[in-house]
This record gives sequence, structure tokens and C-alpha cells, in this order.
Amino acid sequence: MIWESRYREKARFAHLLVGSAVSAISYVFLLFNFRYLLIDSVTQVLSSGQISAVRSFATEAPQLVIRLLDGSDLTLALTWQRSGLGSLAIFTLIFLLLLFPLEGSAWRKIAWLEVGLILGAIWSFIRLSVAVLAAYHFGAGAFTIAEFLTGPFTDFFWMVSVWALALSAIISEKVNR
Amino acid sequence: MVIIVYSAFLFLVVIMVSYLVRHYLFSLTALYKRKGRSFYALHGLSYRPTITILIPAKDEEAVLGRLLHRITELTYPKEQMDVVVIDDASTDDTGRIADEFAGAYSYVKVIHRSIGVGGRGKPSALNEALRHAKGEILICFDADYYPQADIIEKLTAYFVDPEVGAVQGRVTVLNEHSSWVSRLVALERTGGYRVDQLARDDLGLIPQYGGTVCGVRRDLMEFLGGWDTEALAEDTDLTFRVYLAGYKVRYVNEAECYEEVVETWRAYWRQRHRWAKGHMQCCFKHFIPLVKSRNLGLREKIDGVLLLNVYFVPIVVGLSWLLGAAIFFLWPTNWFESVWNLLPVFLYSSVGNFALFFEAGVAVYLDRRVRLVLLIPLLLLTFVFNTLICFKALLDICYSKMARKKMYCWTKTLHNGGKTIWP
Repeated sequence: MIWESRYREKARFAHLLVGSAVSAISYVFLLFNFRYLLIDSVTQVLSSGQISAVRSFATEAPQLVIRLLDGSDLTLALTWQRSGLGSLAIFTLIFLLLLFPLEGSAWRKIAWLEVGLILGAIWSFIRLSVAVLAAYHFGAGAFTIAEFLTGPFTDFFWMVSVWALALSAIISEKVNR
Repeated sequence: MVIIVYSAFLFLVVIMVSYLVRHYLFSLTALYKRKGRSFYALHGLSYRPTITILIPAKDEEAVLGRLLHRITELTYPKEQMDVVVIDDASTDDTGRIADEFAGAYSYVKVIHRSIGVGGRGKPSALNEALRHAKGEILICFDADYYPQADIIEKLTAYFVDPEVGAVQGRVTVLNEHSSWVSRLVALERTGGYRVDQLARDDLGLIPQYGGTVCGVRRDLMEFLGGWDTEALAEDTDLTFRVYLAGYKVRYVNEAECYEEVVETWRAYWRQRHRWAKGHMQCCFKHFIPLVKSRNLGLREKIDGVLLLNVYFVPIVVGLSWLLGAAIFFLWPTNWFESVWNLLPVFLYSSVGNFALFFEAGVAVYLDRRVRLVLLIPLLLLTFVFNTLICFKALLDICYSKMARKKMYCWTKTLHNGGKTIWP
């Protein structure tokens, strides 16, 4: 007799494969476009707030040059770590390893993955804007502090939240079934 | 200087990664491993050893009656069992309640300990009970617990294997809806038992004897000289003593028992602080004997070392955070930024038995807890809290050692049976 309390699942490797393919496509899309989109959005927000900001795509990492309140210029290279692409990669990995192999609809998992990536992208935009605003008002040192405080630790909060929401949806599906 | 700081940081990261891998493997095992170690079902079972149920109780008038009433309802043959209640210098009606049950049921016995003799903690009370126990197997329940009716059959079935020295059942939270703290503790418990303990049992590692909802052979207990009265975590201490004596501990996921958990952050702090100190104390006591022992295999030794050090992990986490911050501001480099990005994954998933997020998630998934899973992000609070608790516990131990003060100070967790919400 097998006890219900020792219930085990069969890993959904097909879902894992599909998830890997969707993740790879999404991530490659982000890798080539996200930093430019992010720098465009932040520049527009800064410009709408009468803050002088100039984009530069001359180097490998796109750059943002901001004129600070004290009249000096701050040049920010948007590396993949700073842009949030690193966090999005971690989120994708967590999702792949901890959600896709579970029972449940593959479509639902893909939908949650995309929701998570969109939320992550929005958070990256907020994070960068906050750091740049801190630099504008309080000097270049404030950028590092703001980046540190709103950095990976906070990133992880949205990652785990989205994962928990997705897991809850998967459990609901099982319970309803 | 820079190289030393970088090396120290990377060393701490390696420790955290080893815990991350360990707990990820546990989660996969709990989810997918089909061929675990043998377990025993009730059907066709004829093994019925004599048992003694031990209930240490100090000021437990709110909950003791509920447990004793439940024990009268247990399906295990009453002629095969006796119950020993230790009224451990209680100042409330605990003794009177126990006496009432002893008067009504011949298999219930009460030992009253006066204030001068008793009140020295659970191990001392259990040692007193051991002198009066007659059963081959000793089953322990804390007074605030509420067991399944057939829990004894489920626990004792494993003792048919002569290698098994002790067993541990699953603890489920009774008062989950009382407060946010109890909800988070419920999440921790679910992860700790449904995934962590079960996986350790299935992988042939070291499942932990938890001190309640558990059983141990009486002759083994006598051979070991009873419970260590100096131990603050007498359960962890016994786990390692059982293994060092050449026996095993088995985890019985089917044997469920409800428990009343702490409901406030203050009570959480007090309880976890005692656990942290006790666990660290066990680490100092058992680390070398564990590594040297010939009674344990390599896998058991590795898991044992990781288990013994589990309360040091939050300290490692805190230190790596401080070192990481120092490097981030003082000597930032590109490659460091990459490691820094990964740091929270290590931190959040390396906090030992403090319900790392994916173990808790997998556990509530397996238990089909739709709403409980939504609280997982809030485990960040207990994570930060536990880091502070473990730092304090380590400082206390260091102070006790330096000042040559006695470390032992039992802090009792208060139970308020009346307010609990029944499942």
C-alpha cells in the first residue's frame, strides 16, 4: 500500500523542454533589446522631469550621461548586471527548475513565466530610475548606494513572489481537477 | 588585504552553495524519488511491542487534558501500553488534571516533582520518567500535541528493524490561523517535515529525532545513560548519540501529530534562540566523534556535518552579506558584480531548516496548500530574524565559554490551548 502522504510525482520533462525553448527565445529577445529599451525609457522619464540626460550607443554597453544638480556629468554604462538581465536570468532558471517539471498545464506555466519576465523588466526600470534620481539629487555616490539597496536582495523578493503565485495557480488547478 | 577579503567571501559562498545543492536535492527527492527506503504499512502488521508514553508537563493546564483525553482514544491495545505524565514542578492545575486521568485510567501514572527537585527542563523530567517506564519503546509527546488515533502503530512499526533506534513522526501546526507568526511557522514546519525530513530518510541520510512525536528503544536509552540534562537541544543531541551508538533514526511521514506553535515574534525569538544555542552546543560536542565514527557511512557523515552546522549558516549568510557590501563599495569589479547578483539566491536558499523558499514551496505543493504558498515571500522576515537569533546565540555561547558560566538555561514555551483553531 502506498500512503498518500508519500505521494510522488513524475517529472514533466516535456514541459521542461518546452519551457527551456520558450525561456531561451524570451531571453535572447531581452538580451538584444532590453538594455536599449530600458535606457530609452529612463531617458524619457528624466527628460519629462526636466533632467538633462543623453543616450549613447557607441560602446558595447549602452551609456547614459546625466547632468547632475551640481553641474557635473555622470556617465553610466548599462552592463547586463546593472540592467537587471542577470536577475531575469536567475528568475528564468528558478522557474525552469522549480515549476516546469511539476504537474499542471504547460500553457499556464509559460504564461506565468512571461508575466514574471514583464514584472522583472518593469522592476529593473523602476530600480534604475530610482538610482539615477538619487544620483541627480545627491551626487554620484548615491547611485551606488541606491543600486545596492534596490539590488539583488530586493530583486529576489519579486522573483520568489511571482514563483509563489505561479505555484499557487498550479496547486489550484490540481485541487480543482 | 583585498585578496583575503575576496577569498573569505568566496569561501562563504562555497559553504552556501553546498547547502543550496543539498536542499535542492532534498526537494527533488521529495517530489520525484520513487524508490526510497522501505516503509511499513499498517495492513498485515503483527508487531506490537509494549510501549510507554512519556509526557513531560510544566504548567500545561491549558493543553494537558486535551492530550490525555486523546491518548485514551488511541487505537493501540491498552494492555500493551502505559502512560507516564511528569508534573514537573507545575504551579498551576497540571498535576490535578493528570491525577484525574490517572484515577480514571489504570494505564496512566503521574509523577509529581516538587519545585526544588523539578523544573530543570525537559531532559531532566524525561530521565525521571525513564526510571518508571516499562515498555520496550518510549514514545514522547509534548503536552500541547494532538496525535492521530493510530499514530502508535505507525511509529512502532519501524522498530521491527533491529537497526532502528529511534523514529520521528510528522508535526503539523494546529493553530496556523492564530497569527502571521504561526502561519510562517506552519510554512517552515511543512517544508521541514514534508520535504527535508522525508528526503533525508529516503536518501539514507540522518533524519532528525525531534524530541516529540517520536519513539526510542528503552534499552538503547538506558545504554546511553538517559537524556543529557546539560543539553539545550536534547533532541538533536539524542539523534547523534543514536547514530554514534550504531543505530538509525527513521522518519515516519504518515504518523501525524498536531502542535500548538508560537504566535508572537517574542516567543519565536525565545524558542529559536534556545534551539540555536542547543544546536551549536551539539555541534561542539559531536562534530569530532561524528567525523571519526566507524558506525556511519560517508554520506551520513557529510549530512551529519551539514546538519550539525545548520545554525551557523545564518551567521555565514550575515558575514557574506557584510563582506559582499564591503567589496561592492570599496573594490568593485565586473566579475564580482556577477557573483553579487547570485548572492541572494545563495542566501535565501541556504538557511538550513529555516524553511528555505523552494523546500517550503515544494512541500505546500505536495500538500496542496493553495493559500499557504502565497506566504513564501514573507519567509524573508524569518530569514532576517533567524540570522539575528543565531548571531546572538553564538555570542552567548562565546561569552559563556570565556566567563566559564553554565550555558544551560531552559526557556519554556507557553501554550494557550483555549485559543487554538481546530483542524
